Amino acid sequence: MECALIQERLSEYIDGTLDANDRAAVENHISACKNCKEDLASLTEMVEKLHAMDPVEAPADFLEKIHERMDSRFSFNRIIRKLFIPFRIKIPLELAAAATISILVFFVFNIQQKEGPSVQILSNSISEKLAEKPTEDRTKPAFEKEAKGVTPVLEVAPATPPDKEQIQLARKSKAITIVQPSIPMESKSPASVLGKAEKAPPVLKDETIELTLALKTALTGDVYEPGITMEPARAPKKDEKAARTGSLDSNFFERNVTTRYNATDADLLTTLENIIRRAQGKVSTVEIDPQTDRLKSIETEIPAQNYPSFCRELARLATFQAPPPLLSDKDPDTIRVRISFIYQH
Amino acid sequence: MNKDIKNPAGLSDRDAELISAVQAGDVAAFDKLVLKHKDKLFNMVFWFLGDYQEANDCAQEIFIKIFKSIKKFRFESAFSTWLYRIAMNTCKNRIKSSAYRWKKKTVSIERPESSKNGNPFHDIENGSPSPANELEKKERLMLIQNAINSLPEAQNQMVVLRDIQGLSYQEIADITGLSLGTVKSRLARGRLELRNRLKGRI
Repeated sequence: MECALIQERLSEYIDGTLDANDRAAVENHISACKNCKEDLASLTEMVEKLHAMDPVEAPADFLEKIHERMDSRFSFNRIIRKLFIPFRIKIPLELAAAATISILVFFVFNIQQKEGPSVQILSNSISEKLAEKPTEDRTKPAFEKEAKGVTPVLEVAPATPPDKEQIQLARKSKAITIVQPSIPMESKSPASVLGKAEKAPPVLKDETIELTLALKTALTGDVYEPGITMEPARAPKKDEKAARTGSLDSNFFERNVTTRYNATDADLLTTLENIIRRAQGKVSTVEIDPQTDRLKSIETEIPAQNYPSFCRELARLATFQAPPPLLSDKDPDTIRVRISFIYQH
Repeated sequence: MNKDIKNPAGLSDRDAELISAVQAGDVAAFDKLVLKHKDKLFNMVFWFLGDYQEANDCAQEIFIKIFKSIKKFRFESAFSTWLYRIAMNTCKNRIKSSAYRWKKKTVSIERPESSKNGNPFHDIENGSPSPANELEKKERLMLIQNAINSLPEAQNQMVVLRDIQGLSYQEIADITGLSLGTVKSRLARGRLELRNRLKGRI
């Protein structure tokens, strides 16, 4: 026990900082204890060796290096200071950073809003909007038969190009058909059409899918110039038939969005019937405009699995005014599709 | 035994003069201050870090810190106390830094690449002919350095400040902010531990 106490004081004993009493106690113990005496000797030797060591000196260019580092730091500080020279009041970097982030957030938010609303329209706002729009009942008896128990179809012809909100309205309510106004093809880039198609929500059960196709009339004034570049419709491949919901090849629409197909009125109907037949569907209603004697719309029922290939064939025939909606997994096996036509010069 | 131990490195008239000049904007006076204290400071930093190159970089950083904050010096303590306090904190931060720890793991810091004069391992590295006793001295230095560096940080600081730098207990207490009793007990434990590690090797 006493040895442990003495060992603690050996360090101070070597340095000569113990008071007279402690020093005497250590000396008395050492004279009697061989182990502690050896400890003192080894400790003293080590401390003396440590003291005797040559100091490690700084390199010769030490001061020069300090100057170099200080110069580079000060020049950097000068650049920083210069950045704020135009301002009388120096702006703290934190404030500048916060302001920059705020501006960025504002712009990003604005750009997102412009690109296209992905916000779901509430049912209340839909009904309010519908109430404001002028409506007209122009349903044909054949269609009424098909749409038994369904409220009459409305045709809304807005003066402005259709936006996504209107497309959603048509799809939310099965009773409403929006006839899209004719829009010059060139104004719509395939990329933007695709972009919207990808974002479109899936079609719900029991709703009629509304497709509007724009057909170009020939310069002669006829609806279709007979016998001109009658291109045989491509038979869908097996894999296209098997293609399921959501597998609409977006590149396909990009490639074919400007494709034209010239045919007579009768050819148009025949072509459409062929397309429907190939899709294993059946025609339920054909609507002819009594004033122009032109095909106005055609309603069909097709198996949902053939819907993508069906749309691709239609895209070959004419131009979609709005991208065809995608189907969801919850769709019924058979879907109703109503195709409206717009004639452009 | 080191004679400097009992001579506290107080604020000499020369230091006060130089510091006042630097505070007044005389950069040349700072150079003189650096030249006066660089070797003692460098020695301390070297023994703390155990790497010559690292010590060189760190000692430069310490003097730059001194220059930047010298206007805050109020002559209330010895300049060396203030200098060593800043040096100790800078060394502690460096030891904690991931870059230093990574370097210590991957590079043999006992034999640094640097071969500037003042490097205690310079001659050994280059294989230049040196007398046998000189070689023995350098080997002993390496052994002691390894042993000191392997001590716990608290004990390492005490041994370096007392036995390498030759500072008094009171100076060590002023620099570290510890009580005299703590300084004494930590030094006693550090010396015993170091003796055990070096037993039969030097």
